[in-house]
Amino acid sequence: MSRTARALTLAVAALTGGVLTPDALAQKHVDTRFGFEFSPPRDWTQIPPQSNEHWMVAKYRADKDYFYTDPDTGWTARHTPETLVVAFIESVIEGSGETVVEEDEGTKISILQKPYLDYEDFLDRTYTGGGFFIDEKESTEVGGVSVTQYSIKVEKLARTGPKRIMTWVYDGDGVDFAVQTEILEKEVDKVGKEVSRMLKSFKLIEREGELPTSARVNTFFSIEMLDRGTSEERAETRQRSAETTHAQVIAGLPADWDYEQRDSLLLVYHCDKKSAQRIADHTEALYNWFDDTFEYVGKGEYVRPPVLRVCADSDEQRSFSTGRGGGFFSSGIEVVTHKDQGGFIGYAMDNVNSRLLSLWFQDRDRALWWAMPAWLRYGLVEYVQKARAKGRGMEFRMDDLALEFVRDLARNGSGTKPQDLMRMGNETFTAKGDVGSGSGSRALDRIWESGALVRFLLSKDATRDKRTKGLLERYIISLDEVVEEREAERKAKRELEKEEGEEDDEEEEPETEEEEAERLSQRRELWKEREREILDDVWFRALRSLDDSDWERIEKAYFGSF
Amino acid sequence: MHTPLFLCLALLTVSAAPPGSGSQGGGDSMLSLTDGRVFVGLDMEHAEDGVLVHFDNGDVTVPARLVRDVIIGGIEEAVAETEDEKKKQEKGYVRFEGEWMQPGRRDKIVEERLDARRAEIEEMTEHGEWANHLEDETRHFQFKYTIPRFVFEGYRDRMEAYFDIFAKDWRVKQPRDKGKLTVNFYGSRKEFNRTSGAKGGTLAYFMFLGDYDLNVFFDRLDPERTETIMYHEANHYLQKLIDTRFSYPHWPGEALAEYYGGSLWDPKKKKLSVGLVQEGRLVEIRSDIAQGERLGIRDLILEDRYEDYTWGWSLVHFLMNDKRYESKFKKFFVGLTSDSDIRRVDSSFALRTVEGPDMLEAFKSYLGLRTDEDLAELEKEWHEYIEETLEIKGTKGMESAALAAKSGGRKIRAKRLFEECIAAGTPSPNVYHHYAQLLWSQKEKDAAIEAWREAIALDPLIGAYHHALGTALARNGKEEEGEREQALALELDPQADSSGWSGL
Repeated sequence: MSRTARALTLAVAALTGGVLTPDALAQKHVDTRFGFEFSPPRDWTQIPPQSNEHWMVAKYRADKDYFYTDPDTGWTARHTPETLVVAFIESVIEGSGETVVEEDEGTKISILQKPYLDYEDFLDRTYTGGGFFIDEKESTEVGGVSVTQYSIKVEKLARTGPKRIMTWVYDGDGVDFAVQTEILEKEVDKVGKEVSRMLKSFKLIEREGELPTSARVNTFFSIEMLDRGTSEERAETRQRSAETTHAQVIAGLPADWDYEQRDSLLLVYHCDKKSAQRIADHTEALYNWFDDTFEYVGKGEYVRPPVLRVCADSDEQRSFSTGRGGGFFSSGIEVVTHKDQGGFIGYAMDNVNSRLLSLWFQDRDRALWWAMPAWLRYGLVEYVQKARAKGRGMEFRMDDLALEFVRDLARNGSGTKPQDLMRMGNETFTAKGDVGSGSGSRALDRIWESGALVRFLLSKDATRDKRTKGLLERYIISLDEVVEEREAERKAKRELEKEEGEEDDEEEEPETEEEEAERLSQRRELWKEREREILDDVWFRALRSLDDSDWERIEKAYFGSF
Repeated sequence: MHTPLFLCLALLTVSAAPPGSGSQGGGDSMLSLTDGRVFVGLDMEHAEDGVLVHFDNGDVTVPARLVRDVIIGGIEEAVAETEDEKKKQEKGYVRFEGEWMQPGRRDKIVEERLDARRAEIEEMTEHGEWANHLEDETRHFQFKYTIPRFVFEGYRDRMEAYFDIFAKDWRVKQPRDKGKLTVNFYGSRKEFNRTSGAKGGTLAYFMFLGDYDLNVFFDRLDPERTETIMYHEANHYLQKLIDTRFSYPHWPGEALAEYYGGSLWDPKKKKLSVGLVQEGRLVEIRSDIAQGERLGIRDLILEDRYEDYTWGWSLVHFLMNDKRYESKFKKFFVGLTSDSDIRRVDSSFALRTVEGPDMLEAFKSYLGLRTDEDLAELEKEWHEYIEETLEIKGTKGMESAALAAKSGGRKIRAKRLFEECIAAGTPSPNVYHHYAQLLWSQKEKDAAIEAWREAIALDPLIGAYHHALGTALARNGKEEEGEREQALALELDPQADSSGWSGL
């Protein structure tokens, strides 16, 4: 890290309340915020915490992989030992189960705090390496500190082979630290010595400042907060959110990571600068392509500059990604990848592209993104996944297997017609179908077909034909209109009910079993009906001018494009 | 706090002790229940219909039918009521468990029993966690367990009987390279999920890779369900014995496992009856029929679906119980693994399997169904069998159906089924507990509280029930009683507050 970068890191660290300040020269990890230090095994790599991490205060990964071959199946699995340091703050644990209400401009946001009760509870709730049991548990004293030593065996459903978890839990002042290391059982003798040395090196040191008082260590911006208010207000909140996230990420960087702050993104990396910058350049180019190609989507909405984290390799990425982290509906902006030894064309970049597409669309128009019918969402993802910056532009390759599959469909005339795909409900799209499909899964077949359709609609060929010129744009704009109108209707209906005092009126309860069954059946059908209404409405608005002969021509051009 | 321990104890039923003859317990007191729970050091006394236990937060009466064994510390001198008894008392005799004897003999009996229990407590304390599990070995199985020995022994005998029946019917034996199957029994949900690696509400699973093993959680609140699922999962192992390299398709694999899941063990005769009616499944089928849904054979064979456990089970039940089809179906089932006329394809984990269309052809061929009309005729017979032959006799099916209706949001249906279960005399406190939850959600608060009281009457030592009752009382204007019940719940089970109110 450059001197400037280091200085900035420390400055940000000070702003955010003090975080890790590992001393690389002494091979020692020092954390003055929580008040501990220890010496990880020589050459083990520090893994940075996730920006929304709550409990894990340090993580290290071994410099060497180990292998286990299952004697029955002959399969060989790779395993990399990993150490976690988890902090159990007494005051947070005592508030177990409480709902914290954050007041923000008159709106209450409830956050359920559900901390781990202790180390065993943490293990029960987070460990995914297989079934385990506590083989030995002993209380002792190390360097004047009370320590509980665990030896845990992982045997059942241990996919990468039987493992051992060596953990010492240190009883600190107001905070307990669990230092947990997972190693393959057959490597316990060898790796266990290094781990033991590390465990013995752990010391409690004087804390600088106060311990966090909430399970949520970092500032949190919920989707509700990000989407509230006028466009200008949203832009202001999102800017704050991005700046906060960037600062937290920089503050949490280990000493041997570097970063580059650009206007359009924050690049943090643990690989060579050139490779990382290539991914950053690609990200900027892809965002520019989104801006140009979908400029009509959420015009004027602020898109947060993402955090692009490039790990040294896939193992480091996997290590980084374990822990609490964000969920499916995460409001975060971090894109995690690694320097792919398979090169710039590998799957690592496919995943980066998918994530960028989702981030961009959700900041521009989240409601539109979530309302997209299956063919459009999957089609866009499938198409964008293979995008690669090339020169000043973007190149959109196609997955070889997918290409072969859609070509076969075109040859034998069994492909799904574009108009059928565009009117297909989610249930049909994802339905299991006949055996012997192209990919082995009918859903994946349809995803490949959707990718091909989006590719066709964005192609130059499509822009040259009056039937398909601007078709995708018309479709997306119409979808947006329909979604907005339905939301406005819903709000108006609610307002009206409020005015008429019916706001709290609950739906009339069924009185017989038949009515109850009917009601449940209706509810099951309701979302399908709504989906069908949206599909039909969008079709009518965007595509009603096309007649059967137009669709025949479109079909011909579409299947011919493969 | 009284910690329940799983123990194996000598037989001494509470009914042997006359009401009022017991005295306050202490360090030597011990209460052993039929489901394996043991409470030590309780303050208790004999009561007319069981044992009265004094907790810090209230008394509970444990019904005699739940008590396997009880020792109440200290010995109270009996009161002689007849002339004969008075004479015996004058001679220095004492009455113990209805019999007059020398005090020395009585003291010896009590001391021997206490010694035996102390040894058993020590053993189970030592082996209560998985790292120190107990082991046993039988002709076909290697067992590991942390459940009480007497509970384990029942399952051990069931498993051997089950193996023998299946091995005889299907002519299979254990492959030499795999040896005996390891069967693990876990005494708590936490330990099962933690050690076996199972997730969520799984009760048992069979690991079909590597060294096979079967993992079973002994749910003491629902031992019948534990047994059924153990048979089901063990059947996947037994199916493996037909051909270890083959992976049975969802139907008929799951359906046959469900067929054998419907087994019942007679502990006195030590006899296992297999292929009984899975009443819960039958209730689900009847519910489908009531809604106008009827599955066909083609539907089951061509597509994997949940109904393989319900309609699929009933098809297997029909075929296995009809002399015309039983042998043909068995040959079809075995033929899937080995018939050279059936096309097999690669499946996951280097196994082979048969795909739907090929299986349908094989089914028709083995069952002698030459035309679509023949298939339709068989289907008609099967549907008639469901409606006319299969019967629901006990409350278990209704209970399953009620629980399914409740979790599926069908409150009216669930309420009717719960009430039918109760009217039919269900012995399950769990039915009352869920019924109470349903009533509470429908604002029938007083009725809900009564239902929780019924649940507690049936099993008064379940912390979750006391906690639910306590919460309901506290929210219904009876704060003092409610708080006392909640405190009692925590005395019985420190985790009670995280489970009793759930589901509302």
